[in-house]
Amino acid sequence: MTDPDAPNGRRGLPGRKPGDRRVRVGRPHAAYFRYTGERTLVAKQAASLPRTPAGRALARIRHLFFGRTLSSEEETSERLGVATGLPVFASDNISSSAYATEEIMRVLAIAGAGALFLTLPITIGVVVVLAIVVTSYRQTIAAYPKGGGSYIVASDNLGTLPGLTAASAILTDYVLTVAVSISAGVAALTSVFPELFDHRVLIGASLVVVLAMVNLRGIRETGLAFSTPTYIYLVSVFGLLAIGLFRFATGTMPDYQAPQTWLTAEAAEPLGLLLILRAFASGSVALTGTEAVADGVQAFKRPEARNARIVITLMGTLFALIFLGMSFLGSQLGILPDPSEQETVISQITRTFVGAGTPFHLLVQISTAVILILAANTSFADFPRLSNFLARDGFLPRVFQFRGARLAFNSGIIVLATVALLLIVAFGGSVTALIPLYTVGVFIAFTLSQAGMVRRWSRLRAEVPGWRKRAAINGIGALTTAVVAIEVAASKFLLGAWVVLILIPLLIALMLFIKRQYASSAEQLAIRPGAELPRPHREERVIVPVAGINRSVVQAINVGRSIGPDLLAVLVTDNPDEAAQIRMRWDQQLGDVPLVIVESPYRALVGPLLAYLDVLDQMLPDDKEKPITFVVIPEFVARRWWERILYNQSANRLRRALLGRPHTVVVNVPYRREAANGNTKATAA
Amino acid sequence: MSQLSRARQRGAARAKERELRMVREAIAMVAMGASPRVVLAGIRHGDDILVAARRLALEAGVRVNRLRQQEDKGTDLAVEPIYE
Repeated sequence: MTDPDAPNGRRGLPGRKPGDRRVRVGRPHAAYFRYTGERTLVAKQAASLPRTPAGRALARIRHLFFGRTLSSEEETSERLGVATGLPVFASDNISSSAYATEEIMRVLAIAGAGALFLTLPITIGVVVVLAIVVTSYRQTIAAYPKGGGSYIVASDNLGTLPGLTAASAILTDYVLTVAVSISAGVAALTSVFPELFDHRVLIGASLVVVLAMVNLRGIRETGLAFSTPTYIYLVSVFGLLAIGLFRFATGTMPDYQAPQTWLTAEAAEPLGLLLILRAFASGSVALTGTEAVADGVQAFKRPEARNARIVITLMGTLFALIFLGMSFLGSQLGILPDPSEQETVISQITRTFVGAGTPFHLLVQISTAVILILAANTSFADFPRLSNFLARDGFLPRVFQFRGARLAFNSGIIVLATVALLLIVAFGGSVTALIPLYTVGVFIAFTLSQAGMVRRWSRLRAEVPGWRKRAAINGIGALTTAVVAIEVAASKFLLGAWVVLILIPLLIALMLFIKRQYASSAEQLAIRPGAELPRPHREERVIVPVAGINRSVVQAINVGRSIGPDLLAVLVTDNPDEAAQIRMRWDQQLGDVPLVIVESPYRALVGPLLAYLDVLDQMLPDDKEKPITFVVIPEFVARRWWERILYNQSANRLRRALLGRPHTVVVNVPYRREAANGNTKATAA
Repeated sequence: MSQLSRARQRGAARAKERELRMVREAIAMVAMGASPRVVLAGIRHGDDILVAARRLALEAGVRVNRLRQQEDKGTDLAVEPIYE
């Protein structure tokens, strides 16, 4: 403890020898704060530790699941390198290789097995689009090293509305990525273990919760947790491609025989341009997740932009190789998609080369299932980051900006997990039901982002050498993705894309509404620099709602006395006899404070009190400024949390009712049980 | 008259004015039907303001009753509707 009379906590002490002088400097906050300068304290971790046994127990459980609390200074060490960044940001895109070929084949097969010769050309077409998009995004990353997702690029260069359109589109798609990827992953698992099929919704929901928890632990752990499975998938699939290409090169391709029923079941439409375009649209699902790297540049270690560009190039290359390889082998073997969706195309290719049920077949299948589940993680990395950008700009609630104990954007993670979980439950974990909603948003965002880049190069033509070439690259990207966006929206509109096309404007309207609310409150709160600040000029009156006479009430009355002389107590009662007794005691013990007893035969407490406050205001002349009404609420605070359930319910109701009442200040006066022994010293909270 | 007694008089006048204002508020509560009865306790000048309070009550269609404080220390006031 420091001597209160000692200036700056310094206390003079006598020395050992005559003339010696010692000074003891008191640091009363040292346990909780570091002194970094005059009037400047930095909170230590001890300041954030819970002080109640229940709080400490909860903190221990949280620590167990989510790890120790990290300080903001530790953020740099939480960033990702190329090796850990690739699985985190690329798993969504790379995992698309597990079904992209199959999606093209399914549409072409409508025209019969003969149309499947177009699988490889369409794959090449999609890969060309991918190359254009990746090249465009490499430029975006270089231009926006602090993170250049569609939202930032579009709003920076095209304006607010295109920016919000891109943001809404991409947010919708992040949610769908989680729902679709998890459902697809669970479907891959249930193909190997059919007995799990009936529990697919529960498994999917549990996986969403697990992913959310892993992400709440922080991004470095996420990188480590997801690296191994992603690399196992890459090794196993490239192993499969190596086997296939070797057999092709040596002329030892195995025979593949599809069941006869698969051949006759289809051929419902002639092969025309529309069908080819639909096949292309289905294959374009492979491009989802491409922009994740550009959005999350700041998650990489320094130099962030360089690492991000390496990762996006690696991602595009690996994906293109797998996609082309699978389509090539599928075409060479004459693979047909299973109409009942019981066996995937990749599974058919694998078992044709290495045999059904062999360890390698199982490895490919299980690692495919795992990477599909992990693909959802890309959204967990990027949805919260984009929400943070939107909250920073005032388009989403500010809670999306706050980082949790592990430096993760907890609110974004929780909202994403909740909505994805609801989608999985609502759609029964069915990929087929979810897939039509997918992809449209991604291509809208791509188009706006690339168009924004074209505008940027044009604006900076004087400063950027070779701006024409850069604008041309992004221009081709914008044009290509715009064509694909229109094509995907048209071909999937009736199948479910309309939901997304309605949802996007609704989200934009919501974000604009939030922005307007924040702007309006900021305008009301703003003080011009240099403006003269008014002194208090209103009269003050103090109302203490009481239920009787006890220590808590006396403490509140004393606090009320310290606020102002115009003090009165109000007792709302449904029991006149009891009120009469209280009145007698009041006159005797607190006779200097007026007590107004309001009888309430309908047993309401809050309503009559509010009516009384309204009457006080109404009785004032119109030309008189309304005084500030301090409502001082006595509150008994029990020692234990479970005891607290028993008290203060009326006080809580009253507090809620008074929230937002004009020129009214609510003062809670907690009376703690520890403060007993006649100590009625007021402590206002 | 000493300065002290003048200050006391001013204080008493302010207190009466304040208590009469409380009576007006209580009358309004009863008159508008927000409560069937409002009692003012802990007031110091109940007897002095009673006449004015009753006149105000009559104008509002309610009545003011006096309630004796314990040991007859003073008067509390109760505002009620006239026809119960």
